[in-house]
Amino acid sequence: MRTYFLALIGGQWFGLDTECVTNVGIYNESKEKGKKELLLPDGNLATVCDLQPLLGGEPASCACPSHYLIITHQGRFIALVMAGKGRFAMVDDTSPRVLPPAFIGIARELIPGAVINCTDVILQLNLEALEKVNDWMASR
Amino acid sequence: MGQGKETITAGGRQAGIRAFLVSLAVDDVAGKVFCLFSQSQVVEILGLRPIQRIPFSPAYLEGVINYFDQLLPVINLDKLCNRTANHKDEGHRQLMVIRTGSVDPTSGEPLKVVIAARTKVRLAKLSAQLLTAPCTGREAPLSLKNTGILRGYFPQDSGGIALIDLSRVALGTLSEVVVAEGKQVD
Repeated sequence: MRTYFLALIGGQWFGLDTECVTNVGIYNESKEKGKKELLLPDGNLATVCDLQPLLGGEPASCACPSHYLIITHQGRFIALVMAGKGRFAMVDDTSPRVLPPAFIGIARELIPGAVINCTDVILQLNLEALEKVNDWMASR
Repeated sequence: MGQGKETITAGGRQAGIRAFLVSLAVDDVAGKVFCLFSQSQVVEILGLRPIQRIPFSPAYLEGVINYFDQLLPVINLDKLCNRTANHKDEGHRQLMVIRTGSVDPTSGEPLKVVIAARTKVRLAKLSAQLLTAPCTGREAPLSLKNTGILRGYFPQDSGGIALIDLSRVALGTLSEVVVAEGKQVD
């Protein structure tokens, strides 16, 4: 069992290792929509990453972005846009499922696997790939 | 003997084939086109359930579902068969779990996929005569031909019935095939 931080993005749960989560901040859509970088209270800059447009469909009102999840990876910071404050959960990730072979390339790189918890599917995020999301989005 | 017996052969063996038909939107066909899946291909038909979308996946892959602790890819046939057109997402009414006939190269397990059907899946009995009748000269629509997955096409009054091979989609090799075939055409 491992402690995961679960972030709700586009109506679905994404799981991250708690060690990389540094903070949760409030996202003000009217002020911050379209922003590429976020100044953190400690003076560091975090790259804003919004996965929701990539997930398609209209988000439910309860799944509208309201918070940032500040993640650190190799000294760099990412502000992941999410709905709600997120939550910690104990997850048995001893046998994570990999994505079916139908998913290739960037999709597979970004989501290396998923943990199934009863009827829920928690998608794991690869932080190295998460850092490249904005570049990939720009090149689409 | 009534007309209802026309699918029974002289030996009494049924010549009709029970099959599942999934409605398919094809831009260059005026009539209705259906995708045919045999009974042995179909594992189960499921009702609505949440689909986990995967970022950066092709439009025809709706996401994954949890099926008995297995992640299965969900395929939107309309988007798969009309990849150049911008099809509206009309949602789905049923999910059909299909055996593809191919195996996972890493685990060796048989690969299944899920078809998102926007209308209810129809169970039909097709006469063998219909499937063996010579083609009337009308070829498969171009949009279907270009998918790289078409295995057969039976023209009907104004539409048709398509046989498709989803193993390339399940194995993630479809884009390579389409690119390769495109190069050959050029």
